[in-house]
Amino acid sequence: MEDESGSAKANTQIVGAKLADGTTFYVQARTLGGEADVGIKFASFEKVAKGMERFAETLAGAWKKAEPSKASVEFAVEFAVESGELMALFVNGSTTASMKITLEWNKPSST
Amino acid sequence: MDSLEQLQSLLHLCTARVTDPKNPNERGTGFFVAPGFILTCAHVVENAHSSKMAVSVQWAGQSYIAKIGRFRDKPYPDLALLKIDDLTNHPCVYLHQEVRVGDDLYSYGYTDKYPDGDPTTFVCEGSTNEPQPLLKFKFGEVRAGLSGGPLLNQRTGGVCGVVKRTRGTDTVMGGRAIPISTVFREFQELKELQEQFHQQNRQWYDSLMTEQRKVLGIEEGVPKNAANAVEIFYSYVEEDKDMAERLQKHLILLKRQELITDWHSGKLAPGEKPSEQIKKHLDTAKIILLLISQDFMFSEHHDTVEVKRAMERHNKDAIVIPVLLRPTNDLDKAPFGKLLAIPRNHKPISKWSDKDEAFVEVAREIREVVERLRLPNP
Repeated sequence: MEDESGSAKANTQIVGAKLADGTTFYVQARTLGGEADVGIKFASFEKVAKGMERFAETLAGAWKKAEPSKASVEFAVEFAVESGELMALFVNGSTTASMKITLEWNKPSST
Repeated sequence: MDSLEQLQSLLHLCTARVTDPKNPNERGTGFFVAPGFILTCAHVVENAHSSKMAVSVQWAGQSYIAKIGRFRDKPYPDLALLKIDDLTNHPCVYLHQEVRVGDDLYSYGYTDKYPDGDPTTFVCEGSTNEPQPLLKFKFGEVRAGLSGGPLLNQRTGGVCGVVKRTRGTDTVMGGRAIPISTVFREFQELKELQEQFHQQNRQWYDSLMTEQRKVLGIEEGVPKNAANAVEIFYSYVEEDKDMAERLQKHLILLKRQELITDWHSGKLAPGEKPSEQIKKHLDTAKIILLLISQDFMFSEHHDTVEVKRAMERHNKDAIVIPVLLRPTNDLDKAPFGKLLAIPRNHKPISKWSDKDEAFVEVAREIREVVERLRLPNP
């Protein structure tokens, strides 16, 4: 997340985000560029959360079909901002990730 | 200060920070286009609009509540017109749609890094095609917060666009603006409001260079002396309206030569609050004429408001002159009893056998004071 000099990388920016209930916070996000309106806005975090939720659901769907006895997947998420929209960027498990998420699946034991 | 700097400073005075009522960290820029009216982008005020709230506007160190009068949603035209009640003592930009490729542009707004105001210059690259034209400009950074900022064309001296988008923060790729032709199409009432304002308030005209006036086609009808015309306030009671009008007729030449501007309560426009306007002009006038009669002496309002304020300003930043219209009792005991009154012989105008002669003398005295005030300060 930081280069040798200790400062944030040039291609990242600090973005204000908010939840549906109005709670606000800041996240570091990679700048993907793109034109954007320049009113100062807090980006919606719900979309990011929704994106990750759908991603996990899709994986779970695949396991249900394959029915392995046990499975786990780890993915790393970095935040990104493009045209003023905050989004989840799935990255290699590198140091730039903002969070790492591990999903584990155990086949329900048949009685 | 050269003329361009003067225009830029005036542009700064015309801009305001527009803030979301719920989250003060969400904001943008706006600018005055008519008395009490602020133009900005719709996306700057969209949260307030959807929750039917007023927005907060910070201008000249004060905070005001502004209603969203007109709203034209993003992505196009993305414009909103805000209205602040009871705020009129501000300058307004001059809107003019002309802009060419290569024109030097200047903007000022309240950005994320510099929330107290930050200037940027650009060069015009042209306009995207109809039906939703956007001005494109480069060689300057459009940061978050500049939305709704005025885009001044430094060649014409007119504001030609409303800043809307960036083409890359942290770059000098510039951005895009909504052209003024779109603003006039969406808010047609603005044309007339603009014209009215700039006819009365010459600040913007006075900051323009000759070349710019030519381009904007406003060379004609701009009074040369307007900048240092002396404002005269006529304080009189309804009973003396006829005599006050006669005095104004005797001073008409001064007015036509644009050496003076004048104000009296008869100039109140429908809907204007009398007390506010009276106070405003009592504070800006350089000469306050008290038209004295027994009815004037009897008037509570004139005693407690107009005479009181006039005497506070006398010999500080204004000159108060009692003009004796009709005979009165106890003139010397009045607050203005010690001031030099005209006519000089202290014979009220109504007592002169030739009243015109009296008015001529009074007008001549006033003219002398006007000329003295117009001399450059030593």
